[in-house]
Amino acid sequence: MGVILNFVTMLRYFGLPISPDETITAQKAYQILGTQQKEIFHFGLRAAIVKKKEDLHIFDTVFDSFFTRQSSTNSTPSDPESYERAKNRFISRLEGTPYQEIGQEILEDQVNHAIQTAVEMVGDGEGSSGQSIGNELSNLQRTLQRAFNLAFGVKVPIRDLTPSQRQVLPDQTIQLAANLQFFEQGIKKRFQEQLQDTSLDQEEEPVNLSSIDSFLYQDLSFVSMSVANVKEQLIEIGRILASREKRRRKRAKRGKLDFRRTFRKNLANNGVPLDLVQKKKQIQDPDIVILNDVSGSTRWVADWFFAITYAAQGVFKKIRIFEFDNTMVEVTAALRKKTINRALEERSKCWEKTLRPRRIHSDYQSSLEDFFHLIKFRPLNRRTTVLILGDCRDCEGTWRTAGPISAELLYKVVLPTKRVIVLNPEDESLWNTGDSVVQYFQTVGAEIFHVATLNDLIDFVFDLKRN
Amino acid sequence: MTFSSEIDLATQKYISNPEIDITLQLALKLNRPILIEGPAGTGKTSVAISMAGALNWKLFRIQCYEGITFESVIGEFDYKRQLLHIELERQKSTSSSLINFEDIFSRKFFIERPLFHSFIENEPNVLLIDEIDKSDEEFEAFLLEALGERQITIPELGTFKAKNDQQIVILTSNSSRDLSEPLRRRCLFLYIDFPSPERERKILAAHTGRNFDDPLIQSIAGIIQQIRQYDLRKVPSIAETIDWAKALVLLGKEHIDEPTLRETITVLLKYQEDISRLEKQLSEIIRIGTK
Repeated sequence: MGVILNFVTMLRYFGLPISPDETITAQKAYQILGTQQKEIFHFGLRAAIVKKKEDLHIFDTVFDSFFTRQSSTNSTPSDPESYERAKNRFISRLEGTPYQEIGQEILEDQVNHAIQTAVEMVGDGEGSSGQSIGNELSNLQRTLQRAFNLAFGVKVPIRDLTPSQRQVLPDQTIQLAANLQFFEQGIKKRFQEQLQDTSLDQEEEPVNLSSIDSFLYQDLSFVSMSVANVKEQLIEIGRILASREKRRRKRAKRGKLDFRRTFRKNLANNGVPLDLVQKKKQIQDPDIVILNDVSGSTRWVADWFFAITYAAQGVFKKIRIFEFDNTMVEVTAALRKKTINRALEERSKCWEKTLRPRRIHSDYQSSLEDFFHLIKFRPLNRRTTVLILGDCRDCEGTWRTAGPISAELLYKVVLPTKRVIVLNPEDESLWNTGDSVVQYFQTVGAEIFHVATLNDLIDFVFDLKRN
Repeated sequence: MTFSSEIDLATQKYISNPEIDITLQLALKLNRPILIEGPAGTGKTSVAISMAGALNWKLFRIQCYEGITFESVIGEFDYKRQLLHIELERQKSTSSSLINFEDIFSRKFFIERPLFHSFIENEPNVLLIDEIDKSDEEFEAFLLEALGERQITIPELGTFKAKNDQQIVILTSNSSRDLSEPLRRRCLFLYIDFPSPERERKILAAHTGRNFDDPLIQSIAGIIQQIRQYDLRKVPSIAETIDWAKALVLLGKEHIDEPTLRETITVLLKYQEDISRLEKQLSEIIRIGTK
């Protein structure tokens, strides 16, 4: 059971929520399959432990480290004698020793030495064995927990202690807990390097509602933050929106009372209509085309919006996203990537294949010309709603006497579609000043709205499903 | 300890891979349901059908849809028969108090449906719950008892435990919605993606009667792998590839050129948008795919 327990411990550190029942199943699989045929063992254990496609990659990487390196490293560890000595000393002196009798020396020297040795092994990578690290980690945890229990007569996991509980603990114990954390972080760091995926980043603070609220209601005109810094919060917002939308959709599907079915269903109740059956409405998913302005002033709003759309994409089945400054690219393919990091990478790749050389400044004219080229295989139709997220500042577009050429092009977008909506984060007092072309866009039939906060923006986009 | 698979899916023309074989075998040994996820058309449903065939077990199938209910899969009382029975009993007897009302809520008046059949079946069987993601969350929650405890409860009739240990439950999902954690926890997990070129060649060979290294089979597999690289609305699945291969064999083609691909591409691609997108790339796809 030890091997599987240690392996499960390791997987849990990397975010896989493995229940005791799954651990037992994994153990049974281990007994049935054996370890001689690695491929069989690998696939069997994977079937028993992993429950989501997104976790397959984490499992494979940890499995590889835990079991594959075992054979090569057990024979030639970097410093086997010192490590074994430290470990044995550490375990033999702590095993069964009441907490009060654990001396300062053990706590500060032996434990630290054992931890340091293990961390070094983690650090150098080549000489480490996932299994021995997992063993060491389990030993440390058990010992620490026992020490806590003996000292305070409570059985609270160390991680769950409140700050006030921690205050009454002796310094040595706090130090031990800190060391354990350091040890864990060492392991995490190494695996994160291997996985290259920040979705495993367990060190980030969990998102709480107040931080999400602060994002949603901040004035867009005064905030500028890179998507990398707020990625987790944006993904969380997207998920909340998706689940809210799913529930709303379910309710919206209920139509009028279906008398025929209600009557049939309630025959069993002697015709008394206890169970009502409602007709189901067919909800047509709207075609939504989003054009995000990623030029200087609105870039970060577009970035945020992309991250939220990525997390909530299940809600919009027929969505296409384009981004533009002086040229336009389609980034819809990026939404299909498994993790937000890969989606962002794919999004950057899309920008490597622009139809014309890229400049930083916005040019609605050339962007819309590119747009017509990009949609030639799937033209706009009467079910399409086009949503432009931008400040309507056509810095580099050319003008005729009647107005900018971009307005003429936008008219060609307005004609075949249901609606063209422009969401402008810029303060209304600045509209139609300088290079702002808001009035011309309004003239050709685009509806322009001011979105002051991220919440306004989200509400607007999600309301499209209702309008 | 060594491990060997007892299920030979190849007898059912299902070309599996080690991961599929091992998961099925493990489900058999551990008596656990399997949740199979993956893109549409990658052979998830066929795994269950082929497994039942390979083991010579009975297959019970529940096709999930939005609004599927407990009654649709377990069964319901036949109200009309119950009424007739009461009327009959009334005519026989002068006093209605002699009617045994417990009788009308017995198995005799119960219309049994696939899940119930599967549980009371004495013979080994495979229960396929297809496209579970299309059902509502309530239905998913109802399945937990059947999957975890291997029993179903009908208030009027009591609890029915699965009659034999040789029952495998296979659930498939296209991930159109996220399934609940409790359901996932009760199942072994298998993800079936699009096949590797080698496995695809074996599948095509099995379904067309050609050899694995036949040039036509190699070309088809190579071209399909190339087409899947493009960002399409609907990527061709294994089922479509098999249809295309059969069409080419029926047309007597021994190699694939641009006109052939153009004429038959509608078998593979189901959206005009996708066809238009690949129109100018066909020669390039053939060149790389048949290399």
